[in-house]
Amino acid sequence: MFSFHYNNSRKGNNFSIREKTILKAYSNFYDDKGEKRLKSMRSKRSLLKMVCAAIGITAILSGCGAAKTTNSANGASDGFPKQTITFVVPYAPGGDFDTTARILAPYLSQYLPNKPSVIVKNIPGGNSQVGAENVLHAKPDGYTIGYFTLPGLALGPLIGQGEYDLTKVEWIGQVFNLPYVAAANKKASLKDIDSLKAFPKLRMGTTGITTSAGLGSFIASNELGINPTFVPSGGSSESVLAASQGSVDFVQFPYPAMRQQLDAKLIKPLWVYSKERLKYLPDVPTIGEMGHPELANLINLVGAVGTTPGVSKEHLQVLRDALKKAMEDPKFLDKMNKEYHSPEYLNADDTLKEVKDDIQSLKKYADPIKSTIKK
Amino acid sequence: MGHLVLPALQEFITWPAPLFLMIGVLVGLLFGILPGLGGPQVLALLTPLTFKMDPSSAIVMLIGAMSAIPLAGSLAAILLNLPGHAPSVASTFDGYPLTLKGKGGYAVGASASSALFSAIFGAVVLTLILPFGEKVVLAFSYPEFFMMALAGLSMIVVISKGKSVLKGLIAAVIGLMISFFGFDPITGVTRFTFGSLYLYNGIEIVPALIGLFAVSEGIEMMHQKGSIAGQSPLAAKLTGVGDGVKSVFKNFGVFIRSSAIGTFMGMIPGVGGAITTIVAYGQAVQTSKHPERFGKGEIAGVIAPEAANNSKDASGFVPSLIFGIPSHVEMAVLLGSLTILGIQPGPKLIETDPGKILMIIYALVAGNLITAIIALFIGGYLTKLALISKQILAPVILAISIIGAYALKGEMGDVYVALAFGILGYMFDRFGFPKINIVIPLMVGKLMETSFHQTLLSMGWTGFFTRPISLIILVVVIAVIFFTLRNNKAVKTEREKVGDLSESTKVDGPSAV
Repeated sequence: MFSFHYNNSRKGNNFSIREKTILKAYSNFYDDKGEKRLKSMRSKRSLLKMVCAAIGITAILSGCGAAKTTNSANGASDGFPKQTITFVVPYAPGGDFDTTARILAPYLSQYLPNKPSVIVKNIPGGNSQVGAENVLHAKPDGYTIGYFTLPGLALGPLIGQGEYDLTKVEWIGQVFNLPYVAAANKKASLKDIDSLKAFPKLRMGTTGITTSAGLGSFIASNELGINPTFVPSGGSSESVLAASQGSVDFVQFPYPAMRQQLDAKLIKPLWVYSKERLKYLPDVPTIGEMGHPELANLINLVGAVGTTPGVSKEHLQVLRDALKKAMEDPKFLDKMNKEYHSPEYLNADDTLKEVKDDIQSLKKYADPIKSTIKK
Repeated sequence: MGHLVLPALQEFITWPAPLFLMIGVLVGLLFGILPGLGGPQVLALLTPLTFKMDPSSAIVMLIGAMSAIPLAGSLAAILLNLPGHAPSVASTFDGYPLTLKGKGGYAVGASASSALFSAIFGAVVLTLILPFGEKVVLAFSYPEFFMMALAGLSMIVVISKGKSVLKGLIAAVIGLMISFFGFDPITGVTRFTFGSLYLYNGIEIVPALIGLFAVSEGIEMMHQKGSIAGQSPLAAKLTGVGDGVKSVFKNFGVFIRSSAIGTFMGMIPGVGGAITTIVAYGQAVQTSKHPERFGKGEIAGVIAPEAANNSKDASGFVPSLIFGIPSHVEMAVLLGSLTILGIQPGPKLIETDPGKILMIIYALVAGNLITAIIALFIGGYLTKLALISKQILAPVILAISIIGAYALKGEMGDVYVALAFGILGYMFDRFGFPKINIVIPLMVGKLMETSFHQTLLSMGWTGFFTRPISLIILVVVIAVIFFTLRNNKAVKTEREKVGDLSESTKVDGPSAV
């Protein structure tokens, strides 16, 4: 079936031993034109090498985000951190959490002993629950840290979505606290809470009720006594666009999500959810001035960094010190402020206190939210 | 902005900006050709590098990487049936059949030149429309989104011309059902999640596409002999890249219409690139004199999605630059990077920093130019992949597919989805169900459902009919469906008169009544 001529020494047929072996191996696939085949195979092989290289590169690149955290000495402070630290962002690239994590990562690295790489890994899904679960169930060695979304994540277990316990997270500290701004379409005759109450068929643009923004909208409408039709969308920018178009009348989101439309005067600011007036919106009253100071603490978007329960005290201290130093670096603060990311540092204890406060104050909304979802 | 055209150009060609453009393009090509990795990943990885660069070089590098992604994705789609990103799925419909015929070079040539010219088209429109972009973006709201999704869905009718209606409908309904997996975006109720946190967000589109096209093809190859191009007479000389470039000019009408569709739909945030390429493809089928050739290796079926894909990326800058609203995920990451560089996208950018806008447009055009040249240059070699024995290629394709599905988010769930859809796609091929019909609803289903609810909540059902743009799209969709069905019937009766009772007609018979 296969006549094999590789021993004859015709001109130009000086195949290497390796090629001969390959030729032999392929003799089952190919017919008696072995030599010709081998010549063409030389080019095919180089192609095959390219393809294999492509697989390798894909594997390496996909591995970039998931640096292995093996052979770490748990419990001993000697030389921690020795290798790459993974910083889990529970959302897809783009947006507040991703951007701030990418700004923060190099500063964390700089202030950690041994200056390890700090790699941002996006694990989106389930309103940031998937990312949180990943950090909670990582190996407790301190090499996996992550962003936790507040108050959104505090709601999950209260309404039976998610079985994690935020008070068990080993907190490293709070990075930012974004104030919400309430705004209305420029043509709608809205200026204060009373006009919202009186507005016929008020439509409020929001996101899903289990997200931080959706939760904020729900709480605000409850506490302010307005009764809008909620028009949810997949993200804050879609809702803010809808408010600019007049498809909805009223929205409230963190300032960075609305800045451009506010600048363009497509929407007009009504009030801000913070204790003091914002320096970039000096003429806009706070919710306290409108008579509801308690909402300033409840309606916000907080990014806090934590790690797996069970990480040793020594490792925790190293991480906490590094975050504190990074949060005090004027260059870091400058970058954060340039994007209006409202950096606000809280240490581990204060972060835990805030988490507990959030859970406590959300308890009373759990039942009404559950019934809203069931509807 | 006019007086800045030359100074900005001078800045653009000043060393080291061209070097960074080149780096961006090469990294983009690498990421684009590998499934699962794409624009968002490449931009996220490049962003930290830009912190210490001067803004011009940084912009040029980021935009260069972005502009290389679509064509690179199409190369894998055409040559290996491996759509690494949702918008490149339409390139597999006719691109891969051409590769099967040994005409891979022809397809690559058409794809590269179509991509380049449409990017230029898009960039020119972008420059002209930026001052008026605000009005365009504000005019499209929930009802219009719904109608666009409907237009995407109606393409099923157009593309299935003359094929089994029953099988087509079954496939479409399966696709629509799968698109409803996960939590309801309006009420928050979860559907078909079976208690799995992975399914909470629904089926991820990219692994599903990788499965449907690449994995199923890999399985199919396992029990075949020979190479992809097989015994085709053209297999011996797999070039034809030049003919491919010429074909764009021969099909200039399709090219211009597709670029216009891409430019228009790209401007509207929230519509998504995948629908855009599908609509452009449907348009090519609809306007062709030989619709029956599509899906079997018609060059217009390669030109159309490619043109739409690249022009939409150019016009996607309209909402991003004017409103800071990202038109897709890639743009969201880019906006983040731009703000870190001190460029604030928004209504004031045209007044405060028009030079930077020009910079972006130049980089977009130059990036596409370099990408197209590289693609044309290596295209001829890459088509030789079609000469490798299927026995060798199949495991390679399967491995790349699975790693690609994993690379997307580093999530095992995505790998399972790719495998499950691989088996589904294989079954579809075996039993003659059209895979396109499952893909389209999968991509538009969620948008359709969400925008339908949003319209009802914010405007009531009259919102669909009282807004002029929404109404116009609806009328066009109905007209397209009507004429396609009427044509179908005419073709069928003609065939019956001649007595040509081919197998497909027999299958069609009962359901078409």
